[in-house]
Amino acid sequence: MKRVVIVCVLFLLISTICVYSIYKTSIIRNDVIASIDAALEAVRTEDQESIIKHVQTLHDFWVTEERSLVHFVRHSQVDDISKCVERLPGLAEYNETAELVAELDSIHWQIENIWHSELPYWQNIL
Amino acid sequence: MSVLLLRTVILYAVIVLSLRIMGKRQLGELEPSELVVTILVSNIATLSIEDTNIPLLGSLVPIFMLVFCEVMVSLIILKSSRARKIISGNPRIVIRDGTIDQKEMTNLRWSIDDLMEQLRISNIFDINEVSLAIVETSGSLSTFLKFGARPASAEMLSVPLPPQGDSPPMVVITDGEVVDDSLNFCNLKKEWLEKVLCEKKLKVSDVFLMTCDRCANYKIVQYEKEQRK
Repeated sequence: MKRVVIVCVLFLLISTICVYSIYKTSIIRNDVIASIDAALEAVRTEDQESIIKHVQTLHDFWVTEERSLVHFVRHSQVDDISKCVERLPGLAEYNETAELVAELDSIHWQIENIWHSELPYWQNIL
Repeated sequence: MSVLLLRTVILYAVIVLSLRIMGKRQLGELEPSELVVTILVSNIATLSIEDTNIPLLGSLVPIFMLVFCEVMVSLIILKSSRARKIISGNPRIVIRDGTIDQKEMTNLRWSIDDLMEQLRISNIFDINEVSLAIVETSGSLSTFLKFGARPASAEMLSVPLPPQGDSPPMVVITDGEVVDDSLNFCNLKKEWLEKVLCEKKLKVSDVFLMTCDRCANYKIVQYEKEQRK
């Protein structure tokens, strides 16, 4: 019975890890998308200061949060986003709007992809 | 490289822990579900070692989940004979009253060579000596010999029980440390052990191996000079 208790505790632990990974990915995804939307809105209004500010916020947020995301997601997927995020401050500063928007859309797609692949849907399981 | 090193150590510890949690059944004859789990655990563990791209949790979570499934399945098998039949199957009789059951052999997909091999592993070289042979759910073969082929036992030869009794010798000191459970099994006290060692001018730490039985018959193997701790 001791063994049964140990494995039940292990099961609770790994279930908690799985739920936490979905929760954490969701939080990061929502915040990244909010920052991206704010940056895109600033691009639309051609407010250069606001673009730089929102891009910097996204950059700083990602640098902090990628460390927790790598515990649950393949490192290469996180690194791909990091590569795009590192380009953003330069693109914003030098007013490369077209490329900035393309990078923001790319980040948006990638983070959505990571989020969807974390969910226990049949298409992910199969 | 240091990442690989640390992951390997962590996963080694996790696998050893997993095998301990799953129990001694894993280490002996394997049932089908146990074989599956053993292969899966070893393959999953290598994923995080081979590819540092994969988070360590990517190996740990599946391994622990497999341990959980294995222990739960073992528990279900223990409680339910129907589940036991479905998951483990039934033992099959392949030799009955000295006659080979060829239909059962076909069902098991065993050739006569497989049967003879298993018999030879059990030190049986003449199939005529076998009264009953059962293929267990683990795939091993258990045999019951005919009366004439069975080794003579003390009871058959009317050999009386020796006066010193019939208890197996137990290891009471191993690698310089006393095994209290074995001493208790032999109904002996530590004082007796100390007295014996004192008579031999030895300390516990000088002893590589000491066995004794309930009649206080003992054997001591000392450490060789180079091996002494």
